[in-house]
Amino acid sequence: MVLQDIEYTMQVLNKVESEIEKVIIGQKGVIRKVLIAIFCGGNVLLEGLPGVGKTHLVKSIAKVLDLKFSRIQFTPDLMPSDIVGTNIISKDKDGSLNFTFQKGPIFANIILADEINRATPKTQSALLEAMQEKTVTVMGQTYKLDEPFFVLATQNPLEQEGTYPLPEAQQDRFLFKIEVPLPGFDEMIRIVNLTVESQMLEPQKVIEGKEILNIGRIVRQVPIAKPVLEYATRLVLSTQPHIEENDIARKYLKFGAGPRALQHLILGAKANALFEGRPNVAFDDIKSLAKSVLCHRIGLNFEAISEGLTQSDVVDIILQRQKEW
Amino acid sequence: MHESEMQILGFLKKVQRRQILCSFLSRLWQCVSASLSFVILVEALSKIVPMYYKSFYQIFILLLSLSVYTIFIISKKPALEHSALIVDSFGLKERLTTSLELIGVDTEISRYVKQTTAQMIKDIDIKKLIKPKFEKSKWMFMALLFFVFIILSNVHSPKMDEAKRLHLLSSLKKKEILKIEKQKKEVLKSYKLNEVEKRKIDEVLLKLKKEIKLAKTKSEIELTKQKAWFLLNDLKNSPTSSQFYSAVEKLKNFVAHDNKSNQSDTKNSLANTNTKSNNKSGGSSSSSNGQSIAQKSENNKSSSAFSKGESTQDVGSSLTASNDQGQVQQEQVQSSSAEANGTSNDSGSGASTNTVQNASGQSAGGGMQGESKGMTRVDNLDGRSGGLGAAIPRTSNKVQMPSIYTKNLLSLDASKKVLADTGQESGRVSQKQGIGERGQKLSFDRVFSQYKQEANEYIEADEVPSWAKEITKRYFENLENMR
Repeated sequence: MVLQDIEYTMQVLNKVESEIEKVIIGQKGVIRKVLIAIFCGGNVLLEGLPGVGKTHLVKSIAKVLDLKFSRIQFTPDLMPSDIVGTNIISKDKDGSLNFTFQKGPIFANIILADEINRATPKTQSALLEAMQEKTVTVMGQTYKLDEPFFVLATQNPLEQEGTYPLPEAQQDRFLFKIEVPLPGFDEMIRIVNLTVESQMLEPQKVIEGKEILNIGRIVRQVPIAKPVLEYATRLVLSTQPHIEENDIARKYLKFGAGPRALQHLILGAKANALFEGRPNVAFDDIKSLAKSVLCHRIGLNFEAISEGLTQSDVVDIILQRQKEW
Repeated sequence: MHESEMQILGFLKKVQRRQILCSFLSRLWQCVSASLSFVILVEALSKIVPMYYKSFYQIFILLLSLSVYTIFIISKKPALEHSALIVDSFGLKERLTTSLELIGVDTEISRYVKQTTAQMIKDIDIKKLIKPKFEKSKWMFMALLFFVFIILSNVHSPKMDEAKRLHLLSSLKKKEILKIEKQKKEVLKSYKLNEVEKRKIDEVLLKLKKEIKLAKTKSEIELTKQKAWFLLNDLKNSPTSSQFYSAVEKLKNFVAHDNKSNQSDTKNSLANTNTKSNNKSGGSSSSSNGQSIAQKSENNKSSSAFSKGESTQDVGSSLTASNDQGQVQQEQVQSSSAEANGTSNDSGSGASTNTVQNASGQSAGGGMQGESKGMTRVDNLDGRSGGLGAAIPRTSNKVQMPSIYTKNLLSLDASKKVLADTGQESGRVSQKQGIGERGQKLSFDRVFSQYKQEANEYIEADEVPSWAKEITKRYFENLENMR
């Protein structure tokens, strides 16, 4: 890596972001976080109401990054083989019958697992294995997934009847859980203008899939100062209710975030720094990603629920209390 | 070390210095307030307890607290990491902190971080960035303390005058003791004395030093020296070698002469002190200490106590003359009165008039019958004491003289004193035991009336030369009138 690479990376990231922002209106924060997850090699759990642009966002990213996109609509009757693929009997030229592996939709670079909580835990776990190992195993045969590989799962906060909420252990494997907010008044008008009245804009390819891996390597080299690292660590640890000093965690949380949360937080902060045009991690990077990293990794207790608090509220309180240095 | 690293370190050291300065200035009010509190405490204490070195203590407290504060601030100097974080908090987004940690790390990205940081810090003005915090209310509090101090220091305190007096006294004591030591060495070096003689001199001088140390007023020092004079006189009169005689004579002269010179030196300084204190108190506290009246009297009198050339006969000499020449009923008395008093010693034939101003203030009683051809007037400038022969100020009104010490206090046994024949009409010296016990304190009236009665008896019995009868009568009349 040379100096030009760093500057180039920062330029590319900005360019990618700008390109996606052209077609996804009013979701700047969401776009940034999704891109961070992609460049960090992580997976994202998107949570938002239907019609806020989740699928469109994923499609746009796939196009800008020149990645193969695949969408899986999760339903209760969806089977693991429907995701990873299956061996089918096929007749060759000789007329003999053989088992041939038919790849499922998971064999793509970007997977949109739509409404992942509607599938059974068995189907969910099939996807989660792929997320973690970047491989799938069918009939004892292991198949490596294409690089880069990202899963963008979505959850609908409404219609929770007949769903299978993801267990905490599985949620922990997602780098971020991003809440996709409803666009504001101005954004709504812009969306309408952009999509209804005129012809829809198509995002342009900015980089190739292979470059994502290079950028990922550069992201990991971004230096982080000791006080910043310590701040992030204190932040993660302060979600642990078993530590006596953590009044808030003890009061509102059943369980807190673990080491993986810290890893993801630091990695995400490094990528965020590059998006900001900085070659180093700042306190602000940690703060901006803390909620997305921590919210799905902490469990509220009865007191928090009875007080009407959400994970996001608790993380907010912890952030306010945590001193930088 | 790369240039960018040096730039970063240099910048951070500048920031560090600036932080120390700002920290010093921001918290200076604490230091000044604390030290001012102590200064005020000292000032208040000086109104209760005599404290001559008050100003010295106050300055010392200020300097000490300032030094301690400075050392504290320097010792608490921020680490470079802290300085970096401070600068980062102004929008550098931890760039400087990261760069500082990357010093010595030679990777592409670290070089990039350091280079970009070095460029950024070039435009940063530390003075604008880091400023001392001046909290108005706190500095107002400090100003209030200062105001209190100013008010308190302008309140006049009699204790301060007392402190000044005590200090002068202490200085005088030291000076006296040093002089005595010096004179002793000189005498012992100049004269060949045997051990017994040395011991005798030692005893006298030791006693003198001891009493000087115990003296509570300047007059007591003078009194002590008078005592020493008499003690030395006794030594001289005992059968001795010529060397010893000379040595004692020298010491006597020293004591007497020193007495005189000190009188003029210290009188001026004490008078100044009193004048100042009188001015401060608007003249209302003229008797704030025991010496005030006496010193006022001194001021009223001629300030050139020993300046008159023809009358530089010191006390010792005067007394010696009386003892040697006059037919004297010698009752050497001292007075502890705070009032100035004086008397004329009319013991001569009147051919000439010698004026001796007795600065010691404790003149022994003058000879009633002397051979001196001149008329000697002794003025007691000190006013702390007086004997029958002591001077009474001519201008003074009738004053009360509460008590005087008998001459016996001076360790001289008057009853055994043999006075030399004067060679005058009678040629006979009579001696009589003085009233009171040795060192007893007697009222002036009692002593005076006793002396007057005795004198009248001698006159009536024709034991006083005819030419001296009238003089003697007038002497006592004058003394009575002057009271």
